Amino acid sequence: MAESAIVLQNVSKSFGDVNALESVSFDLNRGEFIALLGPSGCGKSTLIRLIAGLYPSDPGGEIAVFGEPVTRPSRRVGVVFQTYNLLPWLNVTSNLRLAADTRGMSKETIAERLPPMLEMLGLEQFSERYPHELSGGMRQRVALGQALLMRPDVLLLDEPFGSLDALTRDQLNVELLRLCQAHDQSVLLVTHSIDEAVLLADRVLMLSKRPGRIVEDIPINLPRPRDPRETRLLPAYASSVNQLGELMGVV
Amino acid sequence: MISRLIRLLNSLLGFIVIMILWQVSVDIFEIRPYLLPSIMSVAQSAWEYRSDIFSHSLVTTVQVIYGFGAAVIGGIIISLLVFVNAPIRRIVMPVVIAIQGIPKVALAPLFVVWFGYGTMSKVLMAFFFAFFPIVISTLGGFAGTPVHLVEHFRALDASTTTTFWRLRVPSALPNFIDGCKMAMPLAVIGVIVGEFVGSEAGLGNLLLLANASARTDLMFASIITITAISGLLYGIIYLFGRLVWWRAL
Ligand SMILES: Nc1ncnc2c1ncn2[C@@H]1O[C@H](COP(=O)(O)OP(=O)(O)OP(=O)(O)O)[C@@H](O)[C@H]1O
Ligand SMILES: [Mg+2]
Repeated sequence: MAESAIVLQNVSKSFGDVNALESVSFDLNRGEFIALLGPSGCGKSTLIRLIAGLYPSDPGGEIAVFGEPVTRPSRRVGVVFQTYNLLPWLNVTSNLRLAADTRGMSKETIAERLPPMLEMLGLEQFSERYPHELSGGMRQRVALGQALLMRPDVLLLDEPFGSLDALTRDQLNVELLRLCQAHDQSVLLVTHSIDEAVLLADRVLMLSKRPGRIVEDIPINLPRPRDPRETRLLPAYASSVNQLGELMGVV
Repeated sequence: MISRLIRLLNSLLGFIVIMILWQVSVDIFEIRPYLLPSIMSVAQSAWEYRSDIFSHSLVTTVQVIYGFGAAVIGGIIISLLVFVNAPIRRIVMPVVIAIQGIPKVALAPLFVVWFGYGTMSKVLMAFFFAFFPIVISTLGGFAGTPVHLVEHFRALDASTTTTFWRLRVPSALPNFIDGCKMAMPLAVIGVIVGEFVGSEAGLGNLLLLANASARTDLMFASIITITAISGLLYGIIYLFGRLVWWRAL
């Protein structure tokens, strides 16, 4: 079972004369959680879109998801984009099932998974509400839930909890941790928060300023299961945060 | 209940003020009736000619509804074809834009020559007036679907059909309703112009008759009726528009 969930080899991407990414290579192993840190505009979202198969990378590089070269969006991948992927005219339940529906999952399976998902997201009372009636954090939970309902083999998260206050963010991080541990989920998470990266990830990749190159690949050796409040007290947490903070200052 | 009543009165207040000003200035400045009849005499002649006004209103309203309905159906079909198919777009859009460039008032005599004094020429006028705003705003709605949602559907590997029905149509609906709101008063104008140029019935026809016999009071009664019909039809579209509640978000 050494097969990797995602393999990138020498992946570059330019838009006209803007080089967004330059020869990025890394493996995401099955069940592994990688956090991607980097300054704004360094190509993190671009990387997510490339893996999601939304557009091709420049010739010469290669991206594979579970051994298959990416030429189009793969069914084994679930993406939560930086902007909410919710339809304003659908209520929470319909938004949750949108992705699974679109991918052609059977009605029975969806019906089976909906109630526990609503419960897990803490949105049982809001199942009939519409996105504009929800708080920002609830919306991001629905967006995450929509991707999770498909049970994708690998999850790509592009700053899913950006623009949330620290407390809500912590709550969602706890939920994300629980989910990933329960399903042995492979995750690639883009974030701006060092704290979040250290709390959640097995490895942190750091991208340079544009054009984005991987400049650091740092393992996070914190015990699992993790809990934000307890994990933050560990000396290993502090040293990882410091290490990353210094590197962020340099790149 | 009370507050709804007050709101209703508020929205009528402007009209009441205008009517009072009208009546008062006619009385004070002793304006001659054939220039500006008093609101009272307008009301009197409206009452006197109520059955004529009603039957002419019916003719006009039916023509507006037919023409507007045809514009909605035609507008939806053309918008769909043009959006879905690029070759059709390249062929059809220049024609649509050119038609919009025609001074449509100038078409009225032609339609009367071709289709006579009856309903058809008015329906066509309403159609041509209403068609363009519906097409343009509906197309704008399809194209203006938020890119991040389009991207989301692409990442889900959704088919073009799914993306169209589940994403583009609902996001274009508010624009479509806006287009209808612009088109409805235009359809009324189209019908009235058609009736001016050649007709046997309709409020435009009544207006001309009143004019010919120097009955300014009846002219005003006709104009106010046309305005009321236009407002009523607009109100119906407004109510339909409320079904598309996510427009305001
Ligand atoms: N479709 C596109 N066309 C042209 N340029 C693009 C496109 N997408 C991204 N870029 C450019 O590529 C660079 C990287 O963009 P990207 O969105 O990947 O950054 P990011 O790391 O996600 O930034 P942030 O942290 O602010 O979200 C930017 O300079 C951006 O202008
Ligand atoms: Mg980004």
